[in-house]
Amino acid sequence: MKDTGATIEFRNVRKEFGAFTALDNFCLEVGAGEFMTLLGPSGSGKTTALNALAGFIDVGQGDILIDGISIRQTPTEKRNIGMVFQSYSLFPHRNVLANVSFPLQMRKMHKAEVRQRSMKALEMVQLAELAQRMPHELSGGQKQRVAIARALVFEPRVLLMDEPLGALDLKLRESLQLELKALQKQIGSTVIFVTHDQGEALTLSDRIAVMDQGEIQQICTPQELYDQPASTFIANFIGSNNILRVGGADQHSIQVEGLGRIPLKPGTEKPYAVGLRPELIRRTESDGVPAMVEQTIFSGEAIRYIARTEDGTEILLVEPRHPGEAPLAAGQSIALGFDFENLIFLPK
Amino acid sequence: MIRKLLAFHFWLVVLFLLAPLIFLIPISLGESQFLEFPPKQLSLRWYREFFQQESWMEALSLSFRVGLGATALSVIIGTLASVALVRGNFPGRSILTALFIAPLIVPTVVLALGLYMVFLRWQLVDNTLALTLAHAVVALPYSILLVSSSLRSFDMTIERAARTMGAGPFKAFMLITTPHLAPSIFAASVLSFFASFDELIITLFVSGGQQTLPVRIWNDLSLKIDPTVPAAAVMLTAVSALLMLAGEMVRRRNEAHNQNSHNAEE
Ligand SMILES: Nc1ncnc2c1ncn2[C@@H]1O[C@H](COP(=O)(O)OP(=O)(O)OP(=O)(O)O)[C@@H](O)[C@H]1O
Ligand SMILES: [Mg+2]
Repeated sequence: MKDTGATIEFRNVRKEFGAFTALDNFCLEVGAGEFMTLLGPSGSGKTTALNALAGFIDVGQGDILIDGISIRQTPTEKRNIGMVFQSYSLFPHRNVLANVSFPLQMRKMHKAEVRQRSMKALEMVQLAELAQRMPHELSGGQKQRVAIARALVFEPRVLLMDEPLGALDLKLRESLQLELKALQKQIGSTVIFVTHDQGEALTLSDRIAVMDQGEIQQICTPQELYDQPASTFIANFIGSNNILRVGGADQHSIQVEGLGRIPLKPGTEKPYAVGLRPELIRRTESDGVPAMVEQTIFSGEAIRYIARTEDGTEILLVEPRHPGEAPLAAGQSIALGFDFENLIFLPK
Repeated sequence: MIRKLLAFHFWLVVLFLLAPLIFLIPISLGESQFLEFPPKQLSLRWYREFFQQESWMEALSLSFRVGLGATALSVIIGTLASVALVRGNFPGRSILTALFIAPLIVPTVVLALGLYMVFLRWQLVDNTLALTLAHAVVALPYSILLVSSSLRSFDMTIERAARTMGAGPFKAFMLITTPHLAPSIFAASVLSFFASFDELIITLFVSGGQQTLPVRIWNDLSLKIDPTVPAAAVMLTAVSALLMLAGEMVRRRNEAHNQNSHNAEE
């Protein structure tokens, strides 16, 4: 609305639980108004990072800054951070309106203004009619929207969301994703969003930070992440991918399993493995890699084939479905075509 | 067959529990100077007597004062201790929990003797405040057990949510967590009050000359016995039953409420 979001910086943050390191030399800079997603498998430290920023846990080492000012000594209630929790965390003994009003009441705002602003926030999430309901009278999606309205009502410059859509079904998730993105654009807060759903991350984020075992593996835009994953771990984690081992190499070429000899640009190092997106493989009439269809999987808008090449490598390919056209049957021979520039060279 | 046996057993137990009342109520309603069953003539004479005799009224008043004081102490200390025991993360937590619960397990006579010796040394025998304190020790386990279990079932992130919205730790606890604890705090006060109101043994040891209601009944029994004692006993029972009923109703209502919110989660 008026303010834009704050900048956030994690500077070499380290957090240990006993002998276990949950955050290891964690560095992250988020720009004002940016939508940053922390993406990573379970236990990679995403929630721990949010909890450190919100002030629920003390960080052992390092520093956290909002707008360039350290907040390590600031208690949670003074940090002015809106937060949406995975478990909704509505106040069970207050109705919807009282839930949303709470942050404004804490700021000792005038009664009439509290009411007016709370109703406006509820209208934003399309729940104004349910203002008098108790939390236990709401559906999961409605609860989640109340939680979002409650986190946004005081217009925090930083908004943290820990898998806010995790517990919802796919349809609701997708519609709330769009709503969320629109709301964030409108309010302009800086968002750190946690998910382990890569599709959600790709849809919503300005940038994505991929985490594994308490460390950030790669930070970049969704497209870069998809096209140039920095490691086998990420290539596997984002979308589906064929990860192919690399054998012998000489100056100008490498031996890739399944694909055969691939030319290497002069000056490039021999990669650890090569990735090839299944949707970037096409069937050709001739001069492709010969393979045999092993399995046909129908998945709605697309058809996936698992094929095996002559050297025994399994290759996944995806084709858009053409209605009326029968898919290939198992046992059929095909030839696989691909472009060299679509190969992803993975350094590790 | 088995069901009939069970039903028979059930009524036998009920009868056994109610037997004292079956005798006490008619006796207390008698007219005669002496305990008489069944009474020849019904009257409220001994109830009147109870309220007119100063020593009974004093005993009643002392019981109430000590009971209310012990309840307040038990609930306040119990709630604070529960917060520390449930949420704290310090060594010796489980030992401390056991220590707080101990008065429920240690034989009352042992506890009474211990308190008596401590009170003797610090010259606290025959001191109303000290008596209240002794009763609070007996009542505390109820508060700790009830409030801790309620606190354990409360999702900490809800309180954290309140913190992010600008409530300090105390405010967040009072505004958000206490409403959840209220039913168990209420139940704890009912139980605490009766732990104190019914307490005889410890009171006999440490009260010196002061008489609470149970002590007054006890003393009467060893001297002469007139139907004021059954009248007092019946009223004691009635008050207990009423408060217990109230406690049970609050518990049920709360359970139904939890059930609802639980169903909505599914
Ligand atoms: N209070 C704690 N005590 C001990 N270990 C903890 C504590 N909190 C988190 N951990 C550990 O730290 C690691 C990171 O936890 P965290 O909750 O940040 O994971 P996450 O990335 O949010 O995972 P998920 O996607 O499952 O929510 C986990 O291995 C977890 O077991
Ligand atoms: Mg988590």
